[in-house]
Amino acid sequence: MTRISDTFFPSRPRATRVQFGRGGPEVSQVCFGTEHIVTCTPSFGGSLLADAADLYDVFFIDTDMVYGSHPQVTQAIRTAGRSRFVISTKTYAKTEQQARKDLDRIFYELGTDYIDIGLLHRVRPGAMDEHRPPLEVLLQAKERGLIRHVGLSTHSPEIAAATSSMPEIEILYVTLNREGSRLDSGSREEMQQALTEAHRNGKGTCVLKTLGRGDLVHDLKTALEWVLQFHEQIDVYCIGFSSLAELGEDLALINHYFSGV
Amino acid sequence: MDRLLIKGGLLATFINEAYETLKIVEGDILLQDGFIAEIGKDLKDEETVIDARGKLILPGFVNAHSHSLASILLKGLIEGQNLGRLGDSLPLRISKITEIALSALSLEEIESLLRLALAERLDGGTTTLLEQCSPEEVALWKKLSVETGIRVEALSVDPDLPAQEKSRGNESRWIGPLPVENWEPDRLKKIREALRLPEARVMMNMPETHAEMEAFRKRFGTTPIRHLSDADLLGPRLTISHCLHADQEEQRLLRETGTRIVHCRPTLMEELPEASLWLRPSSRLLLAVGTDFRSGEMLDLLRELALLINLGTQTTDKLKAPDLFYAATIGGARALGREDLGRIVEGYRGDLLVFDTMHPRHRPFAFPLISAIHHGSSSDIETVIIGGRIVKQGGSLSGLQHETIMGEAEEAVWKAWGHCRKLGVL
Repeated sequence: MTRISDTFFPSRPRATRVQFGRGGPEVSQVCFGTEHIVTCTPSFGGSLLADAADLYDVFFIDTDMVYGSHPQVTQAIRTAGRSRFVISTKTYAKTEQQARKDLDRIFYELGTDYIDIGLLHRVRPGAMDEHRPPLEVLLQAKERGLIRHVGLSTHSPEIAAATSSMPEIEILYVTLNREGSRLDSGSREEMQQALTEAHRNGKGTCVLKTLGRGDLVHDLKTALEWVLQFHEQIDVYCIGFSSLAELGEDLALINHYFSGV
Repeated sequence: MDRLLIKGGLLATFINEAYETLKIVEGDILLQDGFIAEIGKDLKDEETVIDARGKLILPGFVNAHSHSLASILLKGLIEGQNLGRLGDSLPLRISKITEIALSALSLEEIESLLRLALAERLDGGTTTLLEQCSPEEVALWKKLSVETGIRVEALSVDPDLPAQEKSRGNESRWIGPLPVENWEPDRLKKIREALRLPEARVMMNMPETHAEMEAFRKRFGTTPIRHLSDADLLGPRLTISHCLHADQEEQRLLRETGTRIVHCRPTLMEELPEASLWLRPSSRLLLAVGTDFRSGEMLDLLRELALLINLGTQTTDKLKAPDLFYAATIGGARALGREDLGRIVEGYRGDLLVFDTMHPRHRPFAFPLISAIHHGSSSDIETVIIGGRIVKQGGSLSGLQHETIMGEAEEAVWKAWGHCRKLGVL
């Protein structure tokens, strides 16, 4: 059936599906970062996410308690069904007790009985040992089937390098953009090296802050193309969108890039 | 144990898990003994329940800079006027009118004016007010605060810097506001010494117009922010109002020291600086807002600021509705040194607004803060709760009869204006 929307947008881009690391889930190559949809009602945000999956095949969603976007993600689940999405979420916890509390809250707020990817959030340089107890909690949750894959997000090349060979970390989210901005330490070159190592070791690799959390949105094409040149080490591009028009524009650029690769 | 349940509303608040973020979520709120005791879904019914289905629940507004007496006395006299023609005499004229009123009116008459201003504040969702006033008004504000429930910190301008009384329920201790003409280094040094008391806070009103800035530079040989920096006064316990002029270096000083800034609408619109620092989220300053000597309420102020921001020449890096909402809630609380106000979070004070969205001007309803700021008004605020106490419900204020208040205040204003005309001020 031809939809009216097809008439207006006959060449709407659809996201490529990729394997997120050795043994990881199949996900859309573009992940919907939900940080920027917190200003709308849960129902509007939920319909945005459901439409992202339906119209663009962007069904991989990144959230966490800190973003404030749980209500919108919850509504998306109610609208399109839990199995329609792959959801990653994170905990900032540094203690076992806090990690358990965070997980309880995540499951309660999202209204789901499983999370696809559970991550330690923003592990800072020199802090890996502090995050071991929460990591144990995530691994235990995985054993119980509550979390399907365990990972870590960091803005530090040092941490990215350290975790690139940790067997218990299956998935790695790192900050990478043309300006080298939003890093906690080190350089973008060091982050690229860590990413290469992680990918070689079979980790699912995802880049965050590709547009510098909005700093580079005025120069979208160049900023994205800069990150895309490292596509051999990157499985997923997590980008924050506030509208499907933005998503469509970015996705078209990414797909165009890969059509020439 | 006073318990009140607000059921089924759409809560909009900033939360601070690791950093500030906005959260909009449906839920119930249980207030107990003046605090937010619990937020959740399907909370058990209580004896007192407010049905908030279809309503937006906001934290109460914090008006961080107000001259309520002046706002009543000047109403109708300054709107639409070219205030630039009054030049340097504007603040003098405002204070002259207020001085005349204070000398010509009885305390009861002054109270009637404050009561009218208070009715407007409460009606518009202000639950906390930082009032700069005359010494005579301080006691009146204390009385009105107890009577109506509004949180008021009343500071009187006094060049000798007596310590202000502790306001009700608040542990901080205000110094100032010190008039600009009294910013000599030795006075600033005294303030610095007074800040050794851990609960002390300082309020300063900055020069606002170009003429005021020029006069300051001539007198002190530097800019106001650098002058305060040299006196080692910048910091989280300093709140400065009317801060419209700050270059990059001064913005850095304000940002790095955590100095709180209160913005009001510029007095002289023709001087709206292109590089006005409050136009830029990237300056990352701790902003609050206040109505100053103008009439009109917080939603009016926020809408005005939102429109003014669009006059700026840059296309990105503009303050948006959530930023302004932040300034009117958390920003204001921080400017007052309060960590228990400004959010809908368990443990915070039960200061809440129930905002009716079931009106054509709010439909379609997808962006709550945009709707409230760009399309909302005081009449949409159907319930105001302060410390768990309902002070406005169904559109009516508790204990403040509009007709009586308006009648008494109007008589007092006519009397004050009459005296002003006799003295050639009006």
